[in-house]
Amino acid sequence: MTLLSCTSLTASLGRKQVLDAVSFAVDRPQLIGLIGPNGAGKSTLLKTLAGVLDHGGDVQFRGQDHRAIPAPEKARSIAYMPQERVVHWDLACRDVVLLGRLPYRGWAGRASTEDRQATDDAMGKMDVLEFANRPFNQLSGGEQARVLLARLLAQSPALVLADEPTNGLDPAHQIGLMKTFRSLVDEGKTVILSLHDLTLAAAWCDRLLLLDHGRMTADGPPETVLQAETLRQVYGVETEWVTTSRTAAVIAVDISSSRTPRET
Amino acid sequence: MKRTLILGLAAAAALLSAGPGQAQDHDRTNAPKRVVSMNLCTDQLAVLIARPEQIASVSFLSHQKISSVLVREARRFPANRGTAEEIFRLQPDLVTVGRYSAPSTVHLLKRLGMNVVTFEPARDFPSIRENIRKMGTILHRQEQAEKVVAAFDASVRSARDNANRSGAVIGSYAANGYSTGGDSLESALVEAAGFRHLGTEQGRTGSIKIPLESLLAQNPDYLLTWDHYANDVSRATAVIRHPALQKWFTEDRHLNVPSRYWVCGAPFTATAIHHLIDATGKPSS
Amino acid sequence: MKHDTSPSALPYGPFLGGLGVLAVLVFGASLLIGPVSISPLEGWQALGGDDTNLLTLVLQEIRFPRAILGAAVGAILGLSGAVLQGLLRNPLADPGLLGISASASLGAVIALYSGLAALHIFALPVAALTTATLAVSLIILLVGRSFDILTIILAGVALTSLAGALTSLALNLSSDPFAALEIVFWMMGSLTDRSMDHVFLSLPFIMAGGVLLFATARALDALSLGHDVATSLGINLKRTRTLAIFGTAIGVGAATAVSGAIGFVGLVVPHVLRPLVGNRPSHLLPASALGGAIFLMTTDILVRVILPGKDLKLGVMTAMVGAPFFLWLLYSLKRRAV
Repeated sequence: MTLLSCTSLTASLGRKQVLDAVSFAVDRPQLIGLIGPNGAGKSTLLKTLAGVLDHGGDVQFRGQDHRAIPAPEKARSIAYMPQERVVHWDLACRDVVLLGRLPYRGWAGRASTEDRQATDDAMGKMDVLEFANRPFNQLSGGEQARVLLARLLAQSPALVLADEPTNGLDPAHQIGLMKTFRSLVDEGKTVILSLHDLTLAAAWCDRLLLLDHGRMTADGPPETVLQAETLRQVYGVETEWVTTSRTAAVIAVDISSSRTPRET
Repeated sequence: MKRTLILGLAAAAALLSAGPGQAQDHDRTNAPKRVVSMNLCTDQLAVLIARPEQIASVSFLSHQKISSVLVREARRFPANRGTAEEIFRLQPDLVTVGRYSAPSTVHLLKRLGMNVVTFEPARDFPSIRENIRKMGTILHRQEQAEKVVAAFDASVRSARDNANRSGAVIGSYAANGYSTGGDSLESALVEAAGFRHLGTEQGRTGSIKIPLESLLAQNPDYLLTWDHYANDVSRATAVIRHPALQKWFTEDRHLNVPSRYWVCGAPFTATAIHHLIDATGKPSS
Repeated sequence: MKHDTSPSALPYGPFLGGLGVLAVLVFGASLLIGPVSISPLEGWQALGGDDTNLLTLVLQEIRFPRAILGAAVGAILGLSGAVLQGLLRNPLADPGLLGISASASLGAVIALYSGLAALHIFALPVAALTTATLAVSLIILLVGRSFDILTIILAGVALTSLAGALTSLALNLSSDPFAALEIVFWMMGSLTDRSMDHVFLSLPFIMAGGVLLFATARALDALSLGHDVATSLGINLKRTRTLAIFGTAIGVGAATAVSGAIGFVGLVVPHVLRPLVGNRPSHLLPASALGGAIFLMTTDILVRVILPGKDLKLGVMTAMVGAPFFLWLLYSLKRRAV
C-alpha cells in the first residue's frame, strides 16, 4: 500500500500561495530529503503533511484522505519536528520526550507502563537517558536536538517529518542525526526532512525532492536531482561533484570560480 | 402611645407657622437678602428661620424626601449642587456651609470674596441651640431663632417625660459596618429617650467600623438602622441585610428609623426621640 | 529510574496531598480567627447549635461563607492564571493583570446599579461573566500567538483602565449615595461580611468554570512544544482556546461578582508552584487551584488580624505581595531575553 501520495497539493500562508500543484508518492520506506532555496516552501510542505496547515488538492495517507483522518489517529502515525527547538517551560528532558506519548493517552489519562517504556526506549535510542532529569533548556543545541528527536520516536510514527533538523549542529552531530534517520528507515519508517546542506543530502538520502517557488522541480535519487544545470537554475550557484576514496559528494562553489569542468 | 409623636410634630408645625409677619425685624435693610445654603442642615435651619425672600438657593439634598424633613418648604427655593461656579453665579451675599462641605469649594468661594459662614455639626442639644441662634444672628432673625429654640426645648421636654427607663442598650449599624460612638448627636438622642447608648457603653467615640460578628457579640438590646438603606442596592449597605444580622436582631429588636430626623441637629431632631420611645413599645402612661 | 520528575520537583502525588491538607488547615483557621474569638472545641460544639447561639450564627452565617468564598475565589484565580499562562506561554498572564477581573467588575456594577441584579439571583454573576467573556476573547485575540511581554502587558493595562473607567462612570451615574464610593471595592476586592447568598450565586459558576479550565490540561502540556507540534500531537487548539476563554470568564466572572477584582493571585501562585511540579503545565493546574485557595484564605485571615476595624481590602494585601513579585518577574524575564 502506498504510504503517502500527494496530487496537485496546494497550500497558502495567509493570502500568499506557497505550494503550487505539488505531486509525489512514497510507496516504500525511504529517507527523503527536501531541498530548495529559502522560501521555496519546504517548511510549508512539511507542515501540510503534518496536518498543521490546511491544504488544497489531494493527499492520501495509507489510502485515506489525509483531512478525514481524526487528529489523534493522525498523531499516532505522523510525527513532526519544527525547525525551532523550543520548549516553553523548563521541562525535564524525560517530560519532553513523554509528550510524544500524548496521542496514546486518554483525555485525562496518566502515562501507562507502555508509555514509560516507549519513552525510555526512545531516549535510549537517542542516547539521552543521562539527561532524563535535566532541564531541557540547560542542554546544548546538539543535545536538545537529540531529546526532541527522542520525543518524535516516542510517538512511534510511520512517517517522520523534520524541518531542518541538522540546523546549527556541528558536523559530528549532523552525521549522528543522519545515522539515526537512516536507522529509522531501516526499521521500516519513512522520513522526510528538509535540508540546506546539499552535501549531507547527497550523502544520506535515498531520494531528494527539489522545491522551487512552491513547485516540485525535481524528484529522484540524489545523483539525478543534483545536476549542475538544475542547481544553477534553482539556486543560482555552481556546483561540482567530487569523488573521494570513500564517497561522492556535491559541493557548491563560487559562481566566479567555476574553473573546472565537471568530471565524474 | 402616639401622643408623644403628635406632640412633637405639633411643636414643629407651630414653628413653621411662626411667619415673618409676627416678628418685627429692626434692621431689615442690613439683613442678608440672597442667602445660599450648601448643606442639608443649614438648609433646614435657614428654611425655619429666614424670611422666604432672604433665601436664594438651598442644597439639592433638602429637596429629597429620604434626607430632608422640610421637603415641601425647601422646594419653594431653587436647589444647588454645591459647585463653586454655580454658587458664584447666584451672587449670594451670604453662603452657609457645613464643616464637612467640600473644602476646595469653600476655599474657592472665600477667595472669590464671598461671605461664607461655616456651621459645626451638632453633637448635643446645647450645640443644636447654638446653631439655631447662630443662624438667627447671621440672618438678623434672632427673635424667630428664639422661638425655634423654645419649641425645640418643649419637644425635648415632652420626650423626656415619656422616656423609656428600662436601661436597655441601643446601638446603631450603618453602611459599610459603621457604628456611631458616644459623645455624638445619636448618643444624645438615645440617652434623651431614656436608653443607654452602645457606643457610650463601649467607650467608643466617633463613628467607627465594627465587624458584623463583633456587633452580634456586643449584642445591644435594640439595633438601630436607617430607613434610607431599605431600597439601597449598593455593596456598602448589603451588610445591613446580612442573614446573620437579620437572624440575630429579630424584628422586635431591630429599629429601622427614618434617617432624615437623625442626620441634622435641628429642632425636628426631637421627633427622633419620640420615634425611639414609640418604636421600643414602652408602655405609655 | 523515576518518572515524571525534574530536579527541583517534588513527588507530584504527595505534593498535591500536602497542599490539600494545608488548604483544609487554613480553611479551619479561617473559621476560627476573627474578632469574636472561637477555640477549636467551641467551634466544634457550636456547629451543632441553632440561630440563637452566637457562635453558631457567627460560624454558619459569617465565617463559613467567607472561608468558602476565599477558597473558591482563590482557587479559580490560581487555576485560571495557570491555564492562561500555559495557553499564551507567557508567565505574565493573570486574570487580574489582563483586565479580566476589572471587566467582570464592570459587568457586576452595571447589573447591580441598573437594578438588573434585583430581577434574578443569577443576573449578577451572569452579567459579570458576560463582560469577562468579552475581555478574555479580546485579550486572546490581541495577544494570540505573540510571546512579546510588552504586548500582553499593554493589552492588560489598556483593558484594565478602560474597564475601571467605565465602572467608575457606571457608579457615578447611579443614584445610590454609596455607589460612587464603591470603586475601591470593585477594584480591590474584599470578602468582608459576604453571606451564604453570595456563595450560592457564585459557587456553581466557579465550579463550572473550573471544570472547563481543567479540561485544557493535556493541551497545555502539548503547547509547551509550540503551536504546531501541539497540533501535530492531535490537540485541537481551537477547542482548547474556547475552553480557556469560557472557563476563565465564567469562573473569574462569578468570583469577581461577589468578591470584587482581586489581583496577582493568578500571577504569583502558578509561578511559585511551577518548579515544584516539574514545570509541567498540566500538573500545575490542580496545584495552582489549591495554592490559590490557600493564598487567598491566608490573605483574608491577615486582613482580619492586621487591621480588624478597617476593612483592609483583600486586593491591597495581594497587591502588596504580588506587585513587587511582578516587578521582579519582569526584571528576570527581561534579563533572560537579552
